[in-house]
Amino acid sequence: MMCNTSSIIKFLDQELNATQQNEFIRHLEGCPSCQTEVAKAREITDGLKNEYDINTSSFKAVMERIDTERYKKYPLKNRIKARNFARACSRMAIPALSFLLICILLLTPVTRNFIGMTLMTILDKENRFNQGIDIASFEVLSFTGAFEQTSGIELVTELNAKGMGVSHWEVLFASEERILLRNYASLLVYSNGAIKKTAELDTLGLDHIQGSIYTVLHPSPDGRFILAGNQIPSNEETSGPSAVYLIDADTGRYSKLYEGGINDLASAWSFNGQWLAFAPKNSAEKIDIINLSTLKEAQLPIPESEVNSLFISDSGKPAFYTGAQVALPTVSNLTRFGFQEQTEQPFFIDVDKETIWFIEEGRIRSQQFGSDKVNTHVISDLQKTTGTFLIKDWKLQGKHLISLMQGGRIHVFDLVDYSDKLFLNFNLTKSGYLHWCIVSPNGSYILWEKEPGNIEFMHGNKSYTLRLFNQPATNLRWNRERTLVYVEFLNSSNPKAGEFAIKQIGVNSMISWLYRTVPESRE
Amino acid sequence: MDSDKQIIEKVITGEGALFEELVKKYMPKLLGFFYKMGLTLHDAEDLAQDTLVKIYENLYRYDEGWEFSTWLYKIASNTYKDFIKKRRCTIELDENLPVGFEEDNQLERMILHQDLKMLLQALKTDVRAMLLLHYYSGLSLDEIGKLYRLSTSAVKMKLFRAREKLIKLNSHKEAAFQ
Repeated sequence: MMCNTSSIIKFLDQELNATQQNEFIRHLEGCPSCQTEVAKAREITDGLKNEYDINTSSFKAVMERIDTERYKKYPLKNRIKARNFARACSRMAIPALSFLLICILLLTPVTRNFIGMTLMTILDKENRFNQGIDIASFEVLSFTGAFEQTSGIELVTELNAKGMGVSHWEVLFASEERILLRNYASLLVYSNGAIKKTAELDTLGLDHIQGSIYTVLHPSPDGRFILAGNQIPSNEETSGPSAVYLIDADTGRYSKLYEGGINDLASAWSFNGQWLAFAPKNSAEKIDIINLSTLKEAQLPIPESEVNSLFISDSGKPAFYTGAQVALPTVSNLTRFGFQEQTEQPFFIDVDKETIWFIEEGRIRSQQFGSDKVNTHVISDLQKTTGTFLIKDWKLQGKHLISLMQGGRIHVFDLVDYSDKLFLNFNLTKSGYLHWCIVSPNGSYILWEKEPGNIEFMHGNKSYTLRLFNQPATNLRWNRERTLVYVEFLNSSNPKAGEFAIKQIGVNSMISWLYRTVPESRE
Repeated sequence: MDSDKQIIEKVITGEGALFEELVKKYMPKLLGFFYKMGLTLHDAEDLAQDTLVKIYENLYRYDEGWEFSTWLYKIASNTYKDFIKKRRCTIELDENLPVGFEEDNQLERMILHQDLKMLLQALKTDVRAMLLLHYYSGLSLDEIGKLYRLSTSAVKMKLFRAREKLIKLNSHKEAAFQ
């Protein structure tokens, strides 16, 4: 395997180790084609280094154009003073202007829209949704509304005929407006008291999606759209055609965004659900941005780099991490990026505030882009008590960072309006169990499973037990600040019969139902 | 002989004529850099002159934390970018062989210049500049990293890939002629 360009370059640069170098020389003796290649490669490198002789008149031309008395006329002292003053001014001016600009962007919705619009107008390319996503032309989308006409029993029969037991249903997303249920093959949406099947996931043209555990669905923060694709296992060499789709949960319309597995794609929703950004993780040359209210798409060219993780602000500005550097759009030009070295993987980049958040040595840290200063986030209450706040475990859920601190405290940190006073400080049990937990939409409740079947939640500084039996905690999703939803199978002796209800439980443990496939009397 | 920094010190304290030493030292390097970047010899000469005039006028701003050559090539790269922006056209190869090279009249070597120049056009502007800054202008990987805000390893990788591309293109080109 020596007849390749990269070995030749390494050989010429003497970057092979002694054994490899000797091996290559031996190989070279018997390989005429490599001999030619080495000669040519050397020729190119030499060609790059070649210098030129030059006509001396050019020196004179330069000397004629400059005023050699320039530095005599104006004493250096004044110049240095002026230079230092200018440097000081520019040091002050850039942060001040950035701050002012960011304030303007944040405060005035008109400006914010304007920036979004300009971005779109400049870069908008032919809009795929208007072109190709006409419901009538896509048979798979004609499921829309089918549920409204069939009874629950027929629905179940239909599912059973396909061999999809309802026991697989799980709550994918819940909010006041809509609840999304999924199994491997289908996606259901419940809203305004009705339930309908929005998409047949197994007919989207993804080879592995049919009944596959590899199908991944990422709902937007408002549950209106879903990013769907296959998690292609890395050990599988040929995984067949696969693609990532954007599905409109309300109408079932979809659009193909990317050819390949969803794990090869970096993607991000903005917290307000208004924007989606995505880019291939390996050697991306652009970032795609979709404005989800207009369904227009923009492409921002970037210097070719890896996109390890991606973030997008509520005003549609993206940022990404290459694995070694953080890239943020420059203030003056949204289509150009500035880069900064960053060793630790950021868990969040606040693009509007230009702040990078990461965990290092067990502490939450933030750093302003363009500044060397790293702030360690001090939680005032904790400092008073223990003085240490090493993070034992942490996770991101929606717009919240949940971290479990040493000493058994859970902190919920709101990444939209972060500030010290918004830290909610819970005194958790000393066991410090944080294998699974979810935060309510506004962050005032946090729910976790202490041990299987024992679900607790925290509010203020007190913990409470949620009286819900025979239900796995992982099936629960907050839909409002004080209620959670889950799916319950009604005919437990025959789960294949597919009778289920969407139920709601309040923090006071009051249970009610939102939807049932069969009338209550038949339960 | 004085170092670059000593010369600069003297120039900004009033000995303006000494700047010629820097001009003599860097003019050929700049000319070669611009020429290899794809400009005609005429444009390359203009740009090299412009760069040196800019350097002189801003000499008092020179930050000693930087190598002088790094600073010089930073200004040269910016001058090149401005020039390309203004022209808004692709760079043509010389119709005639450069007039400034009569002394070096070995036809083969000139053909190599032209061929290499053509090959270099296949690279992105920044990568082409990095390649020339390292191999032609002798800037270290660290210095290039500083100029382009990249890590040393990233620069190294880019240069490696660029050379790989050049060598491959060269082989394809020759195969096409045979």
